[in-house]
Amino acid sequence: MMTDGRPGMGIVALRWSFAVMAGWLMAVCPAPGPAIADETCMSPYMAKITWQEDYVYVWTLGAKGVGDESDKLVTIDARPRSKTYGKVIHTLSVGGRNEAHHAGFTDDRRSLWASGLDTSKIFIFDVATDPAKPRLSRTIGDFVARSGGVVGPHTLYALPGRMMLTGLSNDKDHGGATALVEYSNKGDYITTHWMPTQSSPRGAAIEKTADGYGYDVRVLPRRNVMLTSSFTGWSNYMMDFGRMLADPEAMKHFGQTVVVWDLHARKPRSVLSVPGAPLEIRFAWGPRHDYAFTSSALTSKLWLIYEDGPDVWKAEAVADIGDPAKVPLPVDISLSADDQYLWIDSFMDGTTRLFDVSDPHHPKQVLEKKIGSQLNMVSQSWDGKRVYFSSSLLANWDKKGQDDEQFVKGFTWDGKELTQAFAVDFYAEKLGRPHIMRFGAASLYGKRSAPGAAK
Amino acid sequence: MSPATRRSGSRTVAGAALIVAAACAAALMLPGCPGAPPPPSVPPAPPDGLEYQPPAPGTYALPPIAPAADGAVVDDQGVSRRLFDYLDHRYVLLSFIYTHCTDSQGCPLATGVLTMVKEALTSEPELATRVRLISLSFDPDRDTPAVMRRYALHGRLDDPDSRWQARTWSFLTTRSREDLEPILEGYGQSIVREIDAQGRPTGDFSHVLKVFLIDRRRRVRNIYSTAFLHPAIAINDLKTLWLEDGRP
Repeated sequence: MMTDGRPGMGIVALRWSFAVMAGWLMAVCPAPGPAIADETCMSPYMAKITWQEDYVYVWTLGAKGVGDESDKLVTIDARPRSKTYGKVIHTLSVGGRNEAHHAGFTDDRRSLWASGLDTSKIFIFDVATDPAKPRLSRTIGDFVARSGGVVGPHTLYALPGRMMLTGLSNDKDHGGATALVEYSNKGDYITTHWMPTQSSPRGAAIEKTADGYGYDVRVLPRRNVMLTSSFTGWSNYMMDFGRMLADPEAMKHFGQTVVVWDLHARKPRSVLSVPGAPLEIRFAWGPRHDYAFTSSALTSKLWLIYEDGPDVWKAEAVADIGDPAKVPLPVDISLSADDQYLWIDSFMDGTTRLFDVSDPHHPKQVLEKKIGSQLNMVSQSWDGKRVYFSSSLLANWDKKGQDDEQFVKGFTWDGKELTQAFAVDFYAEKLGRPHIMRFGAASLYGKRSAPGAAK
Repeated sequence: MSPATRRSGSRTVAGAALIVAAACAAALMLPGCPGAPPPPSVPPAPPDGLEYQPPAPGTYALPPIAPAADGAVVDDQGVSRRLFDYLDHRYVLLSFIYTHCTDSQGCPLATGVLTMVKEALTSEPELATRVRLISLSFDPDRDTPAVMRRYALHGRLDDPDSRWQARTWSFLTTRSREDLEPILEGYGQSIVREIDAQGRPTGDFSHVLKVFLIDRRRRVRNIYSTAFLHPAIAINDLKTLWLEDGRP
């Protein structure tokens, strides 16, 4: 029977000992090796590549006058010894433009989910059957209706057996108020969790304001914590960038919060004040590193979200990114697997910066390098030796004319020099605007790389 | 406090308890001492092995994730049945394992946690009669009923009797890979038969550890992985389902 409702009653006396398990071990076989490659900053629940990545999947926006003008999943060969290293080896058009943006694997990594911010469609690609040639296995076209009015699925984040999707907007006013939405790995809707607002805080303590906006999501299961950040709604992210900047009313509608959630209960605990549109969230990996980083796009600041005593989370601006007065617009960050270094890409100046974040409260910039005329996403391998960059932010926010370079570039990083290994011109290849990059590998599925691929 | 130097909540609470005990022993009338005013609310220490206090049963929802899947299985006595026979309108924790697994964060962890869940249920007799634990092998080539019978030895020690209907913990396998595949597919439990450098099977499996919580209406209500597979969480979730059903 129930005791007094206190959690865990009846078992608190149990000792967490694995001695009992010894009796279960009936034979000896090699345990899976540790992950020594793979992209950092991914869901901790996800299967990891235990050797170097074979492929980089690039979710690419279709562009008018470029190829078939449709969004597509582009596969780049990332095997350095392959004859086709650094080249596009497969493309899969989904037909039509959806404002392709982010993508994420399921926990078993058999599927890659990719979303469109405009149409709110979700494309589920099978990357397991042939990792070199993903195929479209399902399209979810009723996300808005099923979720109860959420628009603009952004982050697609693996939880055990399901996906957590962040929204950016809603179908009532196309503003920034939105929700988290859960789907099963098979693509079936589970539930919606609306973000806390001033009028409906859902039990959360509000530091300054609760805008109800969304953008990224990351979890720290060890502390039962989930964080969400906040961007802007459909009416802004689909607007021409220059027009939006000149519209004072539009500029009022950007996120200024990070929400701390009870991961297990999916309930918001507190709403932290992080002005300036905090975007990507990256939790540290260390076993006692109870903190995450995010960057605010409009104010060009690096923020530390950290636990200051049990269950007390705070947000602190810990560094400027470039010259905030010049609005470099930091857009993506990537934390090294040892929590020592953080890559930060800024869009307007096309520059990546590397910060030493070994003291998370006092980051120090140690490198600055211009990658192109515009720059967006950054993905690094688990060993930190390979860093990949892409160029596109949003269809209506990308630069115009000569500055509208569209590329994916692969670099090697030896701790001192960032050296370009390959570049793919996505306009010359008639592909479009490359956004997020995700790593694939044949070894994940008990396969070997295609024979004959090596030089 | 620097995040790099933060100490766990359990250590903090344990340390506070030690200080109060020492003060009481010194006859100081501090909160918590006999005869002293009621102490301020102190959160209970997290369960061993967890760094946080999981949410209390019934304070959160576990929305249905997917229908449970059925399939042909065979028990450790070699008797063929359907997997649904074992769900039997109980709350079920279903764990996919293979007995040769030695990854400490894999099958041994799952089986160890089920062991502790079973121990915990001894103090929850009403709930215990409504719960079944199932360990189902995804290695039918090697995990025969006889192998599963040996594997089950520890888990069976204090079962109420030998009848399968009364058992708290069932150890199942399948007759063939063909019988296994639809079950794995139904639950979304992917496994990969590992190969060596020559492309030959090693006999090992790569798999993402998953344990499935199934309600009495045969719906998956939670899926645990290594990161939060803990008996306190599983027990609270079982109680949450029981409360949802209007526990008697």
